[in-house]
Amino acid sequence: MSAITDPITALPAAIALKNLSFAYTTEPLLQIPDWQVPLGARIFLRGASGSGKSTLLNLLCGLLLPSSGDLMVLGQNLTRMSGHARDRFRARHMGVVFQQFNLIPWLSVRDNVRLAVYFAGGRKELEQRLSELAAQLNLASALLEQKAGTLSIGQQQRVAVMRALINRPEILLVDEPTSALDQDNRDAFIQLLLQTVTACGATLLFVSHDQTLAPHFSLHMQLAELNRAGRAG
Amino acid sequence: MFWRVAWRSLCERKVSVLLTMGALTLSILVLVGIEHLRQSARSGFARTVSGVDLIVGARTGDINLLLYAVFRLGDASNNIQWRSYQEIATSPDVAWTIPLSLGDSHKGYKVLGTTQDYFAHYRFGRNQPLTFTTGGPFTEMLEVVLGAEVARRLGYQLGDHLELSHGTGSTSFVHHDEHHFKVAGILAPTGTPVDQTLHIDLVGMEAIHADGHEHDAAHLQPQSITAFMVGLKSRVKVFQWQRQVNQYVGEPLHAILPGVTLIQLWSTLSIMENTLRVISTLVLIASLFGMAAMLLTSLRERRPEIALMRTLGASPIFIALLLQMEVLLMVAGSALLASGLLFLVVTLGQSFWMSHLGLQVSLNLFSTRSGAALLLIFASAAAVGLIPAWNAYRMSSAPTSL
Repeated sequence: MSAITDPITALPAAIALKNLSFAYTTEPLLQIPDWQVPLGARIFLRGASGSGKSTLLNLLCGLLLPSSGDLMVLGQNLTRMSGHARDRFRARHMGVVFQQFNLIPWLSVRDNVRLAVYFAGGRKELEQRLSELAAQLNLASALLEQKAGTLSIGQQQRVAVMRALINRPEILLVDEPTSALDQDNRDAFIQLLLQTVTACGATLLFVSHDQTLAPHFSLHMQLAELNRAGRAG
Repeated sequence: MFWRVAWRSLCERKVSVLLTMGALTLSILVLVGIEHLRQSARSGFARTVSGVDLIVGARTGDINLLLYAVFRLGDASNNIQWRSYQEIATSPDVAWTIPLSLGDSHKGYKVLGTTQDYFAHYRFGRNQPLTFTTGGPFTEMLEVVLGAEVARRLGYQLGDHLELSHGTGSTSFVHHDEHHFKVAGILAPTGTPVDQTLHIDLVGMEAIHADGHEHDAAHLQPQSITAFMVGLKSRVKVFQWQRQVNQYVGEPLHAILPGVTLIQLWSTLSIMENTLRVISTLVLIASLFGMAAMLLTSLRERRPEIALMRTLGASPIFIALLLQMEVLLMVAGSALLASGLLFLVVTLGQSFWMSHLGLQVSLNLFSTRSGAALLLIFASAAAVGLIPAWNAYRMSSAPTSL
């Protein structure tokens, strides 16, 4: 049957969807018969706006539950977890970077990062990891004490990456992080993101509508090809 | 981290938080302040008169007699004949009597005509006798003993001369200029209406009212008095005595037991008391709802924040608790502010209440009752805080609403 439940498979896939469907109303928005993302992969998932991108990301991080089907992340079935366990799981194993509003503007950069550590229930080596990531992402240490709301968009997005990676998550979900950046900043940001992710060894799922970003990634996918919802036949 | 986030979040919305806290502070101040004043009034009330077995006046209501004889409030409808007083006062069961003659005033303070027995037998608080700051009881017809407040407010000293007029108003139309009274003594403060009274000899009282200028004590025998206080040799006979006085054949008289009537009077006031309580409770509830409304409105603009915290792994419970903690922080801050303000008001207003209401307000704010009031405030704040907390919980359980 499926590779997910096959005991012979040594390593579970980072993400594995089986017969997953999701509907806000009676009309399903997502129907994905089979999709697997191997551990350590770096995938560019292209999807037009309104195609169910954000819904898919909400499902992957356990904020939404599928209407039916299995949703496995790192070998664990999210649909069988309690809400609290899913929140914990998300905090520990997943980092998320959005298009905008990644940081709580009235907390300092350091507190924003500490909040992520707090929810993951960790504390160890925070300072060391923080300065390590800050160096990798070209963030001056003086910046850490500033209120997040005072940073430039480019700085905020880099802090968001730092915050997403602080708990050494296995999976990093990134949703249109560059749409508010200009061309130069955008390429620099993506380079920096890929370098940092490589250093961490995390699985990266990069979701965007912008095909011009695709060359940065080795694996490309179209959400429209995965999703059977709304297709005739 | 939880505290830090709650605190920072409040700091972020400083203006609306401060306004909400202002409303809360005032309503807590009103609630706890009224409770405190009420207790002070109650204990002050009960200590106004003590050690007196009966108060006798012309036939009237119990409370009316107590009001004019003890609190110097209102006027007696009728006087008692001197003859009747003499007859009762000389009865073998009677240990002492204090005649009271009211009706005149000096600069808004009541003038009481009495005898030296007043200073010997009148008791207040826990059976405390009257004491003098300076001087002593009047010994001559045209001498006066001042209550502590009268002396302080009007600035009279021992040996000063003052002019007493007929009538009770602050400005009297009928002046008897010839009668200058000399201050013979000033009483120590008691926290009772005694402080606002000028005490003169019954004979001196007659002198003010005498038509001619016969200042011969022998000719100034009082014809009537307003009321008198009675101390019996044996308290066992007090009810029997009350009945006897009420059935007195010479004229219609009325006797009350001051302790019993004080309780009656206080229970009459309890409607007032409860009304104040209800109003202050409603004011508090209104400001708690105001706070809930403020937080509910803020929830809308905090949606992205809440969504973000959820993505970071915050559970809906965490979000709800965060809102609840903000409520409790605001209420705690307001309660602290209100306590500080109340302490200030009580400390600064002490002499004002003493002089205007004869109310001795205790400085000890932390009685069990005000503690209970504060607890109740916290409990109701937590209950009201459930409204925004529950909304935040529901909002964060369904990411589509974020």
